[in-house]
This record gives sequence, structure tokens and C-alpha cells, in this order.
Amino acid sequence: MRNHRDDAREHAWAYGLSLCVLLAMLSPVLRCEPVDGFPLTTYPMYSGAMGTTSRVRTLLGITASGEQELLSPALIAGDPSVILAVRTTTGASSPERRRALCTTVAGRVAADPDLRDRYVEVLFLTERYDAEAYFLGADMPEAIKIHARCPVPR
Amino acid sequence: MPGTSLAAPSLLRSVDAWWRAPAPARRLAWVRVAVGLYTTLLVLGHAPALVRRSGFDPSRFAPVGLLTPMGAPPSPLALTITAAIALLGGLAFTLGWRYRHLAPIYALALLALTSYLNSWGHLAHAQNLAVMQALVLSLVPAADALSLDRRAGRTREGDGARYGWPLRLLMLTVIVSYGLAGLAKLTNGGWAWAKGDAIRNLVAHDAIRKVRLGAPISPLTGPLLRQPWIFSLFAAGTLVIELGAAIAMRPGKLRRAWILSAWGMHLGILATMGIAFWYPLSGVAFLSFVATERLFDPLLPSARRS
Repeated sequence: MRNHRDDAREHAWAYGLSLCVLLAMLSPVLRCEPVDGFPLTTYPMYSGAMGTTSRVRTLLGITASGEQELLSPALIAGDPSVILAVRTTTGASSPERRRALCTTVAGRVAADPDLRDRYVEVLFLTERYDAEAYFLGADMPEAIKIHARCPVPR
Repeated sequence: MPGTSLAAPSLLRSVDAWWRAPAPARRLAWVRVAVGLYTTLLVLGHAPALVRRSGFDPSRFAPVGLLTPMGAPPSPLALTITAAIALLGGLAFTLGWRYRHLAPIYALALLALTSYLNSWGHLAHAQNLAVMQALVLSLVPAADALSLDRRAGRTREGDGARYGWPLRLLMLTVIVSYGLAGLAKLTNGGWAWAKGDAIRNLVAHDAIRKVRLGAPISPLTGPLLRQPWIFSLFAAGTLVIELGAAIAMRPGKLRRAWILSAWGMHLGILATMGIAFWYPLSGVAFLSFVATERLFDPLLPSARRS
């Protein structure tokens, strides 16, 4: 049989938990500097302002005849997730890290029986595009900056 | 002032009556079953990703969530044990077995695993709401019906007020999530974000990046980007849906309209950007707003509906 104490306890739990959950979810934005985290987040996806210049860091495989070919996210980041590939390339912010990433990717290419004989070198570069013009047919980069070149180990 | 001393308690009583308005135990229970099923499948589906990440260079470890205090990634053994707890716990959560004790353990294991998945330099944002709702459900009487505990007599249905506020709290998690997303756009992009240029450039940049990193893009991305006016509509619509999420607390046509709009927005995101937020796309995210017992009870054999 329910009594006043049970009702009071249930009231307290209902409002206590509700308030805790609400405050927890709002906490990322209540800080002086909003913090994106997990599972508490500010949900900042696609919220920023961005111009039409698009800079993309990527790694390309170079064939013996000098052709440049795209490599997969799995080769770049060790995982098929393209977002991890993005984070991996943007995280390589120093010359040493870029060289290291280039070498790591070249190692993954060498370990792939379908690719080791196809590519002789891996190139780590930043390409600059006009994002507006790209989808109107201007899909060649406006500028290229090469960060590292690594031979594919034999 | 005359009347003020009476108004405050009356207002509090009204708020209490609204927040703790009764709901059937089965309504909350069906939400538990759906969220349990979804999150258990999430764990199962991400098993290959967990294995891959356990082989990553430890220098890539950027801990978030439950793993924030850790200086190094957890060992493969710890990961395996947590995954096993999550899978078995997810089953117990979904079936409502020993719910009072096992549900919080499951929710913590789920939080640990999803924290691990997000601790490698990228926050996915697609799992946050599912994890929050599983955490809430683990702390409320969501297994008083449609559960093995009920069948075994370990629990019984109580007063309807026990089940109304958890549903409203789950609704609140959805509303706060969408509201924060809208607030982020205003904070980072200002009201100019509604014009559509920012989102159009972001979508274009995202697509170029995917192409140049060897990943596929949606076949609709290019044709849509060649029609800038679509992005003005999309941006304005997104802000209305996200900032107006609170209207979904009111039952009726506005709630249904908001749910359909939010779901349509995610469909649009999938079509234009190839990014799937499966939790809302599956509908599970919105089940707390719905009379789930009317939706799902007919699926049960009649003998099990009592």
C-alpha cells in the first residue's frame, strides 16, 4: 500500500532526475567557453560560416607512369570512416607528422596485395578548390601544396 | 500582493499535474523495448569498428565521455569485457529482465563503448541522443510492463503518474538536442545562416573532401548544389525545426507536424550529404511522443496484450 513517504520519494526522484538530465544536457552551452563532447554536446555540426574556398588534405597513390590516384579512407586512416580520414589528415599538422602519416599510408599500400604493385609512391598534399565552381564543372584544383612524398616499400 | 501567495502553489500544482500526468505503463515499456533493441544493435553493428580502433596508434587516443580521465586507451581485454556486458545487458534491458539492477549497468557499458568509439579525434554526434535516452530509461520504471520481470511477478504496474514523467523527460532530451543544434547555428553563423550560403558552402566542402579522400557522395549532391535557392529553403526550414522543437511537447497536430518535419529534415540530410542519423531516421528517437501501445500492441498475440 502506497503511503505519503512513497509519494514524496517518487516526487523527489521525478524532479531530481529531470533536473539533473536537463542541466547535464545544457551544461556544454552554459560554460564560459561552450564545449563539444560526448554524450553531452553543443551539436555544432554545420553551424559555422564558411566561404567558397575549400582546402582538402589528402593522400594520393602514384603509379609507375606518374598517374595520381585516390586512396581510400581505410588506407588513409586505417578505418573506412571518411570522417576519421579527415581527422587523420587534418591532425597531421607538423612536417614530422605529415611525413609519418605518409610513411604509414605507404606501409598500408605495401601490405595490400592488390595495390603494392600498382603504386610506387604516396603523396601527401593540400588541394585548394573553389567550392562553388567545383560542381559547375571546374573540378581541377586551383592550387596544390605537396607536404610529403614516400616510396611504397618493396 | 493579494492573490500572489495563492498563485504560486497553484502554478506549481499545474506544472506538477502536467509533468506527472499519467500514462500507461506499456507506453513507456514499448519505448524501452525499441531503444533497447536499437542500442543493442548499435553495439553489435559497431563491433568491427571497435576491433579496428583497438589497433590504432595510442597517440591518436583523444578520450571523451566516460573515458575522459584515461591517459591511454583501454586494453583489448577491457574492451571485450565491456562489449560482452553491453550485449548481454542490452538483451536484458530490451526484455526487461532484472531491470532495476541490470539496466543501469547496461547503460553505463553502452556509454563506455560509445565513448570509446568517439575517442579517436572525431565526435560522431549521431549516437548522443540514443545514449542519453538509454541512460534515462535505465533509471525509470520502464519494465513494469512488457517484461520478463512482470511475467515473473518481480514488478507490477503502478499508478500512471509513474510512467508519464519519464516519457516527458525523454521528449525533453529530444527537444533540448534539436534546440541546441539550432542555437549552435545562430551562435556560430548568426541569422545569416538562414540565408543558406553557409550550409551550401559547407555541403560543397564536405562533398569535395569526401571525393578527394576516396569516399562516395550522394548522387543528388551535385545537382542540388547547382540550385542555390534550395539551400536557402533548407537552411530556414532547419532553423525553424530546431529552434521550434519545443512545440512538440504539446500533443496533437503540432506535435505530429514537428516529428514529420524533423524526420523529413534528416531524410534531406541523407539525400544531399549521404549522412545518416539513424536514430531519428528509424523513428525510435521520437517514440516517446507517440502512444506506442496503440502502435505496437496489435503486433502482439492477443494473449500477451494483458
